[in-house]
Amino acid sequence: MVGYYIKLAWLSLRKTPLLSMLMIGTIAIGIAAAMITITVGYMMAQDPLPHKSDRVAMVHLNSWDPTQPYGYRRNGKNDIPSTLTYQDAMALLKADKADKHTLFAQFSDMIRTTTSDVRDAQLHPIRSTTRDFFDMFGVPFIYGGTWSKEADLTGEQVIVLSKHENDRLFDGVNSVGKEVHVGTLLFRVVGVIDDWQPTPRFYTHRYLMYQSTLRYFVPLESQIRNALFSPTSMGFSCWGDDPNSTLADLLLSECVWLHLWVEFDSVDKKDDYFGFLSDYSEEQRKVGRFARPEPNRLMTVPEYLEKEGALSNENIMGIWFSLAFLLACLCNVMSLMMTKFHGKGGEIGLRRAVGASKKDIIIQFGFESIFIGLVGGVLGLLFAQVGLSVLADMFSNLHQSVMTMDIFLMVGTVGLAMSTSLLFGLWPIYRASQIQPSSQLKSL
Amino acid sequence: MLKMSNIAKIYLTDTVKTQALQPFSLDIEAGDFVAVVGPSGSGKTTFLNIAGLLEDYSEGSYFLNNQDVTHLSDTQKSRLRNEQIGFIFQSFNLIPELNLFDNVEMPLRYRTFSAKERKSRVIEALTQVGLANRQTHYPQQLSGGQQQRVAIARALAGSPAFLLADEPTGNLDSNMADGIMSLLKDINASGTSILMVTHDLQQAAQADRIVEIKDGVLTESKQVEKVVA
Repeated sequence: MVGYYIKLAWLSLRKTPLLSMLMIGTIAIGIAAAMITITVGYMMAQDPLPHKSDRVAMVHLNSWDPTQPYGYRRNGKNDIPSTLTYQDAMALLKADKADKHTLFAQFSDMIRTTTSDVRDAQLHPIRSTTRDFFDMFGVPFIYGGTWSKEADLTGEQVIVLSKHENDRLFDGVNSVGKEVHVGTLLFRVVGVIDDWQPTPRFYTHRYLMYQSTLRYFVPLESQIRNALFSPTSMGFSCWGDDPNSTLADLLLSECVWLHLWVEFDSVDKKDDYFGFLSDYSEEQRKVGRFARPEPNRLMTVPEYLEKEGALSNENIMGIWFSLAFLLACLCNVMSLMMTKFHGKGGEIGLRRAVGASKKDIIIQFGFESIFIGLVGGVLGLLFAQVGLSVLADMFSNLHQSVMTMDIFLMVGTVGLAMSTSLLFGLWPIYRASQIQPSSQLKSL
Repeated sequence: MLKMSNIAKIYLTDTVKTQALQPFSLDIEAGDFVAVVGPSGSGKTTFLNIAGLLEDYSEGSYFLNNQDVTHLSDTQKSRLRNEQIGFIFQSFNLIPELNLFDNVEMPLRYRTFSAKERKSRVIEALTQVGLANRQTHYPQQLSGGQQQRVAIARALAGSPAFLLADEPTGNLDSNMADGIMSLLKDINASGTSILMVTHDLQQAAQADRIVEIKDGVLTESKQVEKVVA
């Protein structure tokens, strides 16, 4: 009987092509508008480390100027920096109180292979970090792996490339053991990572969360030992009169510029670590630092994303507006369905006369509503894909993954169209089922 | 098989009460061919709708095959219509986007027949009306007489106990009308009861019994010739 109802739905659409196209088109436009904003919102709000996001946390210490609050305010309150001074970061790293530590910064330099001309070198931002970065954040390797513990300690000149750069520099072959120039220095390739784009790129600042991941990774210690310093790309914030015109200055200053993430084997250890941070702050207060009143923070991935406003109020409002637009479209569809089903009074009367119950009529038109929703949903999915690709072109600074539907969203789009079409068809269907057959039998 | 006792129909609005049918009683036995005659607006179609369970009556009792239909639910009435009654309409009421097979099959879709059983019944019904070779054609490809034959096949496909025909020849020329009447008489001869509303007294004269409705009053004529005369 399902096949019969689908056949009737198809024939009904063909019988009134203009009305059918109008209904399908209206659903498609409403669904596309809704799904474009929902997709962006959904992709922005995803948990990027679903299996351990509550065990991975970012350290925020309030070492800022005792006379002036940190420049940003959040929810009407003074905020504290989300990056650390070099001396605090190294102290926490050496204390080794968490199960894993990832410390990172970034700088920029010219990069080329040993065989290419110096004029072919390209300026790239480079992630300077510690070896746990890859494991903690789930970065997949296609060749080699992360560097050794010794490399972290000695600042060995080793480098991990992205697949994109490995393809560009080495034609995609296994480049482990080969060397690249970073500025004037030679770095040996120890690993190549696969395409990797957590959405959002949770471990960094809000304004960088939807941009592409960096393509080069070197040990932080190698940056420090080689004094690789690019002030415009390193993103440090300073207060007081400390000099900061060289990397050596920066290391000794109260400027904040290093992100520290820690991972615990169990959630319980998080409280212990926060106690350790409090003790550390207390010790620092004794030597005249950490004089500001705002408390330190240890924020898990979801907490940090919420604090940074990964899904902004504008996004949420956009979703509400698009859902309101969808509602308006569906109300129009409901009105069109009333017209369509009313026009089928003769057929309803006939079917009732030959034995169809009201329930049979409801099922028949229910299938028709779902069918309209299905076609509208598929068309809406296509419209949404076009809309998302236009958005991706318009906002090329954002990573494409934010503008890309996953399979869940694709199925959800069609499902939403079918279910809302049925929902808004219920009243027309009910009205159709109540048609008095005897009054319609002369109108077929 | 059809027993109506003191059936009346009243239409009520906020301000107007219209007595469409005065209380009447009527029995129709298996194999009867009953013609219903009367002027336009006299209540013939209302009577037919009540007989076909398409409309409720205001008073009285109605037994169809010994089953009291007064308090049946919509689903029960639908099942009864599907299994016991075949409808034939003046304007054929075929669905234009369905071919003849699908049109005739329609009532069978609301029963639990297998696809094979449905097919067999449709072909048998179309064969009975002489259109078995045109089952993939669409209604608009047929003449009026042929379309009415398809409608009759649709009514017969479910093997109903009786047919309700509302002006079955009203849209046909005399030749085609004669053909349809001949077909209905054949069907009746095979044991199916027929209740036929008609304006045509010559056709009414071909029935076994004639019921006349005038101003909502139903009377049965004892002598067919008298009404025709």
